[in-house]
Amino acid sequence: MFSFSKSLVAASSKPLILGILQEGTSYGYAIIQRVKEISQGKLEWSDGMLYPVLHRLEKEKLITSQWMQSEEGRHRKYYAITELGKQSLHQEKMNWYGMQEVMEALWSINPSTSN
Amino acid sequence: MDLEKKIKDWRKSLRKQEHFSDGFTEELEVHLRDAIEGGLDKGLSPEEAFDRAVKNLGDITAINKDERLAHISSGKSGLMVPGLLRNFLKVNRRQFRKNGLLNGINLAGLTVAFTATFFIGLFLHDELSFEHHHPNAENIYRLSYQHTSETGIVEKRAFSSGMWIDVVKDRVPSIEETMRFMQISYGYVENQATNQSFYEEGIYWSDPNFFDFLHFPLKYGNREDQLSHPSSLVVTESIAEKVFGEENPIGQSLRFVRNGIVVNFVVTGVIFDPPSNSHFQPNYIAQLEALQGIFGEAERGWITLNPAPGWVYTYIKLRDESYKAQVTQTLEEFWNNAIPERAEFMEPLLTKLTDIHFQPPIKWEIDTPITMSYIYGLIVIAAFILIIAMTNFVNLITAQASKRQKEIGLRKTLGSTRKQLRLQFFLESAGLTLFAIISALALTYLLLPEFNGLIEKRIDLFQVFSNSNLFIGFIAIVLMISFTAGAFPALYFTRKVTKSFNLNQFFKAERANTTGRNMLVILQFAVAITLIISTVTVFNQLQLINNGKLGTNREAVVGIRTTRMGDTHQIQRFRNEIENFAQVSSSTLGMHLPRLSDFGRINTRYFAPDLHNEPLYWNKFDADGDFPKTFDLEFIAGEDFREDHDLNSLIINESAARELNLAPHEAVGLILKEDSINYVYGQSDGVVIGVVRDFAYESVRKRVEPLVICANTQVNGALSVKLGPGNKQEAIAQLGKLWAEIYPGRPFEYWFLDYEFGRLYNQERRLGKLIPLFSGLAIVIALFGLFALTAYVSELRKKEIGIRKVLGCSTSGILRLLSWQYLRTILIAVFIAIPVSWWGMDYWLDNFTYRVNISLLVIGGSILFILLVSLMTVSLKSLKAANANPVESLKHE
Repeated sequence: MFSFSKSLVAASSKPLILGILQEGTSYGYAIIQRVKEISQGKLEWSDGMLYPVLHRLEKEKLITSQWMQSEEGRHRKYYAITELGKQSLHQEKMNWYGMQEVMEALWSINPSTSN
Repeated sequence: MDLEKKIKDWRKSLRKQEHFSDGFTEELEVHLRDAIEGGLDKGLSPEEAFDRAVKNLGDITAINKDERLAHISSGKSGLMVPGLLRNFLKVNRRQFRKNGLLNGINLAGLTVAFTATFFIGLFLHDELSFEHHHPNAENIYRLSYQHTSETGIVEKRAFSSGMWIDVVKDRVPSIEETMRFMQISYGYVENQATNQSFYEEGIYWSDPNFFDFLHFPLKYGNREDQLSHPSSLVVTESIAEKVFGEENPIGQSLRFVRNGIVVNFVVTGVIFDPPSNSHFQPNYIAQLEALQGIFGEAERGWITLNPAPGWVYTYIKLRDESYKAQVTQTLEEFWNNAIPERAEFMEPLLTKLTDIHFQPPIKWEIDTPITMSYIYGLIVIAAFILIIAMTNFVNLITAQASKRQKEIGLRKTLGSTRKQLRLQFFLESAGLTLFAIISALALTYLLLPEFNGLIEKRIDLFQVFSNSNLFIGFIAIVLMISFTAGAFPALYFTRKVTKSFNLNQFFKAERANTTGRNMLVILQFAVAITLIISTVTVFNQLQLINNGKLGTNREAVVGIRTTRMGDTHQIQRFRNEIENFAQVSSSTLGMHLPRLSDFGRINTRYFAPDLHNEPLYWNKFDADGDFPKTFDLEFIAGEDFREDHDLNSLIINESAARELNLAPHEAVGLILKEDSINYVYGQSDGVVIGVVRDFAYESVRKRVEPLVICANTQVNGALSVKLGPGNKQEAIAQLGKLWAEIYPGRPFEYWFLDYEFGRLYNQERRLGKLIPLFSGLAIVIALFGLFALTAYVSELRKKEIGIRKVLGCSTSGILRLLSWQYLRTILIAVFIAIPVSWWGMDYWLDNFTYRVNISLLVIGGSILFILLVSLMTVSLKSLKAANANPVESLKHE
């Protein structure tokens, strides 16, 4: 069973959210659902923690938001990724792949540390 | 279960979270509802669905914390959020209330200073904008001439001959337009409908294009009719009101009576009173043609057909400046032909209309020119006032820094950025300044009528601001001042105070502040002392001018107009009767006094055949035997005219004797021959019977020239009556009653010579009022600042004083401690102020021929005064602090 540390969850929240918004405009509840879906429940976020992250990304101009009427008539705040956000996501991807390579390199040389 | 109620309660609980914006709360609510729906879809009961949704949301306070970080940790937080502005205002209000005295003084000082500056500005604007409102003012020139005497004395004169303009206009095509007028008054105006008559001055007899040439807005009447006929008469608003009352006087008739000759007029227009920034100050304007009727048959052609200079003021509009030479050349050629005997002494003068106000006074000038040094002086005073007030402001604001350290520390702890702090203090100071400016503007508006009365001007605030450039400039200056006033404390606070916050730093910073503040106090007081010394010196100089006018008698001399009263017997009868009046001590008949810049005939050629054959170009004054007595001339040799004096008796002044290289007593008995080329009152050879001490009979700016007083006048312009002590108004009523008996139906017009002579020194009089007023204000503002500062510092040092007292320091010891701190700085200011004011005043006094000395007494007195007053100011607060029971200041910690 996975047990991601709090700081790792925090660090991954940015690429995760940007990645989800890359797929299309979305709102808070749906983003949470999508995270659960992709991670198959491995990533346990408390729902509320998502919002400050969204607000920070918005402040940093990586995403934008707008209140819109949904199809079923509910008023929701929708988030969309910006051009700057896409660039940032690309950078994040590179960072995560890089990190993965470092870890892999380490663990393939000295398998004893891998378990 | 009521789901909606639960959601509502939950939402209410979010309100406590201060970083949740309304939008965020709503967003969370939508989320909760989605989550509940998801739960319901999975078959949970509403209650379960709600509980799970809330649980999944997580710890609300943690979210709150993250939300705050989301907004500030990015490093690009907003400089200004509405809540912060509200907070600033609140703190500002509390701050103001807490230090009410300090801030009240600060605000009052600023407001007074700005008001004073506005008034100085208005005065300067009025002076500097002279004549600019006339169409094409920059192309208008006044044509006159300068006269060089045989002895080489150059004298510029303001008038010309009425003929020159016609000659020049014919020969120089680049002259676009010309206008000339004469100012001949001293007749009376009669309104037959009401049977009232008025002696009037300021009657202009002009070419018909007066109103095309100059700008005088009309109140009633048509522009075309103004001077269309020799019987047309235009009057000013205030004259119309005086003569005709409130109604529109167009079409009313009026007659002008002079020398028994009557000219009938019909009023064709009423103009608004001329603005004060013009040397054209007519009360009545009629056609020059109409004046022909007043002169006798022989003089009829005199105005326009006499090539020699007469009393005509001539103005020409040139296409451009380069044609000036052509005009002067043409004129010189004309003189050489027409008046060859005078031409060599004359030179044409073309003075730009807009320059007339700023050149040194010339003979027969109708303007009251201002010297640029006055303008500069007022600018300096305005700058001084602003410096003092701004220094106060900065001083008092920064003095509060220490008290606000806590606030600043707290703000920093709670996450204020330095930019926000800077903004806070900037807004506070700029707001205060702006408020002061707006109050000052209101005050200026309210006090303007008083100010106008004081300086005898007609400044209209709206007129001034209707000039859009000026208005924009004004707004720009206001913003600049507010910005500067705001920027300084803002930078000061944030640099000194916010870098770090610990006690050690605090005290270090406080010490540095004190030094800086003391520097500002030094600056202020150096300025204030300079102002006091200057004011007293200016005042002394003006006193000298006042006293030197004509004799030194302080008893009021009343002038009564007797111009063209016909029969000399009647005047003699009047004189004889008033001799019996208790208050009348003497009277003298002669020229109308005073005249514009001198009186009597000037440049008469005398010879002293006993001494040498060189001509003497002296001034001659026609008077009667009672003149020296009435004006209290002081005899230094010889004697006054006797009752039955010889018509050949002469009295000369000290300067005349000096020019002959004679001691005063040696001049007595000297024979003087008058070589009169002037035609008016005949020739006389005389014997000097007395020598009087010099008195200023022309402008005191000039040296007193040699003067001959002749007692054989046939002029009866005015009767000067010297009144003894007693009620002046009663004496005048008595004179008026007698007048009415002897001259029924003739207006009794009188004036106090003291006041009339004062008019010769209009600018000096104005400045004599303005300078002490504004210097006084500056000093008061400086003292205000000192008072507030002492109050503040003794408050700040309350504990220190308490501890000192507990340890045995006496009240006087503490008083000395507190006072010495300021007296020391003021003493430094004294040493700066003395050389500055000495130099400044010496420079100013150089304008005058007769000048007071800058006395050590004045300087010493000024210093003593400022030391005493500031000591009193400081003691006022220090004494309270020193007397306070130390328990009071120490107990609460």
